[in-house]
Amino acid sequence: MSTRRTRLGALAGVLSASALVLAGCSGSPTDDGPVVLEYWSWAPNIEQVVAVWNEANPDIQVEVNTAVAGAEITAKLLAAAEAGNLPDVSNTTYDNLPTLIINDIAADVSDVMGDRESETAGPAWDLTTFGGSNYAVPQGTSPQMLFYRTDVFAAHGLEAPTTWDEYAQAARTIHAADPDTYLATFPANDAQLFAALSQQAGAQWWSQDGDAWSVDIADDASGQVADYWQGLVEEGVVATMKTYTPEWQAALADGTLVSWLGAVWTPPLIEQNAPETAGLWQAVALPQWTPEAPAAGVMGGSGTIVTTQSAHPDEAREFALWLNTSDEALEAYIQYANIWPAALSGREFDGLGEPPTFLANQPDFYELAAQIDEYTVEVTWGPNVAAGFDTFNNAFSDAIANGTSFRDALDVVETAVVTDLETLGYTIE
Amino acid sequence: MSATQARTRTRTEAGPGTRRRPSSGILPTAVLLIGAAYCLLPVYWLISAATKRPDELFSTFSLAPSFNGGFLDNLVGLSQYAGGAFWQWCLNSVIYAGGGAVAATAVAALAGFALAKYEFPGKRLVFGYLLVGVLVPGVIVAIPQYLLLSQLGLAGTRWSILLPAMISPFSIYLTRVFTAGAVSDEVIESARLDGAREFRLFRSVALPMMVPGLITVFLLQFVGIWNNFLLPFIMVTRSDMMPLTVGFYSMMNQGSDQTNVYSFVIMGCLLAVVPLIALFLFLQRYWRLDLISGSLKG
Amino acid sequence: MTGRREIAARRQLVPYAFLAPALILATALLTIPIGYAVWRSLHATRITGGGLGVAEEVFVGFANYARVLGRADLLPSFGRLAGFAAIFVPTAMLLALVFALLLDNASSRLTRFSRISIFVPYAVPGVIAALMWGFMYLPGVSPFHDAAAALGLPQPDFLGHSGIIASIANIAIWGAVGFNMVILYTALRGLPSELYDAARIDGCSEWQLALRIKVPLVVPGLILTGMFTVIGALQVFSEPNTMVTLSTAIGSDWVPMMVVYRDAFITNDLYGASALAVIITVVTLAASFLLLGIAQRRAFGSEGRS
Repeated sequence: MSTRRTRLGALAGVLSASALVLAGCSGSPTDDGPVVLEYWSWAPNIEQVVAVWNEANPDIQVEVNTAVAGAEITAKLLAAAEAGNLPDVSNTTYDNLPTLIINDIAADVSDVMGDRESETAGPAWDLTTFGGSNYAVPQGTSPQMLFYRTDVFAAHGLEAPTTWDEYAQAARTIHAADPDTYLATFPANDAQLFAALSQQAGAQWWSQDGDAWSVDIADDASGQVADYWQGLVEEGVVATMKTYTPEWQAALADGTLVSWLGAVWTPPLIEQNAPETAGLWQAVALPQWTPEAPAAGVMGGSGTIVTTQSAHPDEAREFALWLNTSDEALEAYIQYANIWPAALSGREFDGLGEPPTFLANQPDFYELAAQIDEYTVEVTWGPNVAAGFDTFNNAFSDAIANGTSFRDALDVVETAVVTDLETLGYTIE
Repeated sequence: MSATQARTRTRTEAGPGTRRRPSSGILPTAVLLIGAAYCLLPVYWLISAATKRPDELFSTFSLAPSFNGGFLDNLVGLSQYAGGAFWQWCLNSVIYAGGGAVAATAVAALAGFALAKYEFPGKRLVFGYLLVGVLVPGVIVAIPQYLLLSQLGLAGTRWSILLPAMISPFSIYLTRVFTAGAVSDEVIESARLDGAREFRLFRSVALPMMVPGLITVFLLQFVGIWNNFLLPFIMVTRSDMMPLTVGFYSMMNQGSDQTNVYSFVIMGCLLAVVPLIALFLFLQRYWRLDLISGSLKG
Repeated sequence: MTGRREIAARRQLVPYAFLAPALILATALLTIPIGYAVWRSLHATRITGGGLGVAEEVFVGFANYARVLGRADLLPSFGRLAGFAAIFVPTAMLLALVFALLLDNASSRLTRFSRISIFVPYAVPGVIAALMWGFMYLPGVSPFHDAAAALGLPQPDFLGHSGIIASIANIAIWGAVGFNMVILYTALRGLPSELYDAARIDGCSEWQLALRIKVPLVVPGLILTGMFTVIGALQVFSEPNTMVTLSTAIGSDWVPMMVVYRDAFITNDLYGASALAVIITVVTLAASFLLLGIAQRRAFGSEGRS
């Protein structure tokens, strides 16, 4: 592979010289000018955070590209890697990090991260460390939370559900009172949510033992979650619209949906999608299967990688570290994007005593995040999460449309993931 | 040639009047108007939706325009979206469609002229080779093109969209067909006797006669590139390289992560569609689609 | 003498020189990429090393083809493509022909307005068309839903499983009718009007005239536009791909081209995607040659001219 790259690389050099005329000069330094780093992120308001860096570092200017949506960023990184025009720095969700490592996109950043284990939240450290090397600077962890409309719950005499039974009961009550209103939607396109709910119930979809992988997507814990939601869908007391669509946005804004199984990063998204509902939302811990032993899954969370193709690897590492560990950056991040920092120092900020602007009525928001973090389960993501999630979307879309078994859909996903791993050449247990 | 004959017999724009009879045309006219309404309805919807503020978009009757300043807000919001990305996309679309279509037309003019007016060994083979390109869907070669241009380090640059746009087998085919009729052999021979070199002959003698047809070829290719989605979608990831189609798609798909943008997308669609429709109406008389309908007989 | 022979020899090279840009571009951007796709389709990455490992490229023969063809989601995606084409091609062709005949009909009024209006969608990119129609299908924004509610009719389900193929076909039809109509209309106007006068004297009505005389004469135009329409149908990608965010009924494997895109860029299987692209290319070429063969026999045969 490398020889082919090199030979073609020589040819590419000749051609790309002329291409630069049209391409502009992405990431390449001019003779005397500052180093320019290209940074991909999907975080809301990330420009404001980057602006803080650019002001303080005139010699290392960062251009942030938010044109790639969070759901597509891995695909676009893979495409860019193939084309040889990766950005210098990019954000990635933890679940996609293994894919980026095996495709030689995420560079080893142990030289800036290696000695920070004691300053980093344990789950975030585990999710970014493979075979003793660090491959990303973790940005935050994302404690799973339930957000609900206090006004609607109060109108129906409901309390925030603490168990899944209560949650189901709330779904029935709300839908019975107004057939146009739903407690929630079960979105076939949100594999991340389903994975997190399964993890809460005790599932480990991917796990690694030595050099062998095992895949347990259709295990009992996931099956329990599948049955639970299938029941609600069949009763008709939850909607089935996809999340992150215009229909869903309208439903949040007009009160068709009155809660959201989200995470610590959710408030700014509700704010953007349903600005009129400010002050009406409250965050609580997720409903539990066994309240005496609470658990929460990993719902997103992201880190910052430096790519293997960066022309300025040192500057890129410096920026990635600053972005996720420095006081200035974390303060800006918390203010604009509601992250729950992975850097332990970041959790001491005064800023965290204040709730997100959208949840101004909830002063203990970050305290709650800290509590949930305590019982968030440990998770290993496999090297083909994207393939698994893609199959999930299609299989669950079909299952919802045809009224077929969600458990069978999980079987389809597991089979696809195993086949894909075998094709890639992994040993499966 | 039959194509020429067909054209000489073609009635002119004022033609239908000559055989229009005073019979009842209510039914055919009604059917045509229904068709027109079907085609204009989405455009009207677009205009109406563009006048709405984000909070009105999902809450007011869709075909009733709003006059609460939403139009201006959306215009300003769109202009400022991601640092003026919309205007960059417009410029990119013009560069890709304009540059690609000019190059493709030039290539087609040369090749079409050679195929129409010269006899040479291997002509059938060359024509067949180029013609297979008509049949291979551009969508399908897009991924191989991406792989190859990646290896050359060109993917992600403007070249990765411009280069594939420069070769249009259908344009070559069309140019060959109309050139055979538009440029007479006698004119070429007499120019040769006057001692004209071959390229001068092409440029000064044949080209002027080919211009009407070449304008149509240019317009077809322009629209083809302008409307193309998959190729630029695959080729570029940076916002400042995207044409309008890919830009809108990316805007639409990050409604979740960034600010509520559906109103801006709608405004953008309107701004992108209206000038192109206007351009069409303006250039209508240059459309020589009889070239296409005549081409099968050529 | 030598001078003239040189000129003659140079003149022999002239057509090749004129053709050179086209041949170079066609080879570089069509032939070589397809060849490269074939090469990629015979390779794959395999993981070496323990743990996560690192991917390396190896030759795997036809394994990708076997794998891709054996996949459960491929056949349904071809099925949906067939369903889409079965609605799109005949409807788009029939509407284009009807509108063209009506435009050419002596008693029609407002033909200029109608012709331009019906041609307008040609100027609208498929992505934008899909966004516009997508919003118009969307409950809450849809004028059709409002209309159905006002008339007391059940709410249409454009974006559900039952309606989605027709909904997407409608977007494609909307975009394709105008262009085909103009080509057919141009062909109709190329016909000599003396033909009609004789028929009219024989007492033919406008309808009979259209069906018995005009339609048979524009068969070549119908075949040409039909071929464009079929090729367009096989390529459908941007409309369903744009609609993914609007409809639960569209997965990432909705039509074969989406499967190729998904494999190449979402699930990171460029090798499988290459294999599938090669398969689709072969199928399309075979279908096109078949259509072209039929078209040539009909068009060139019946016309009987060069």
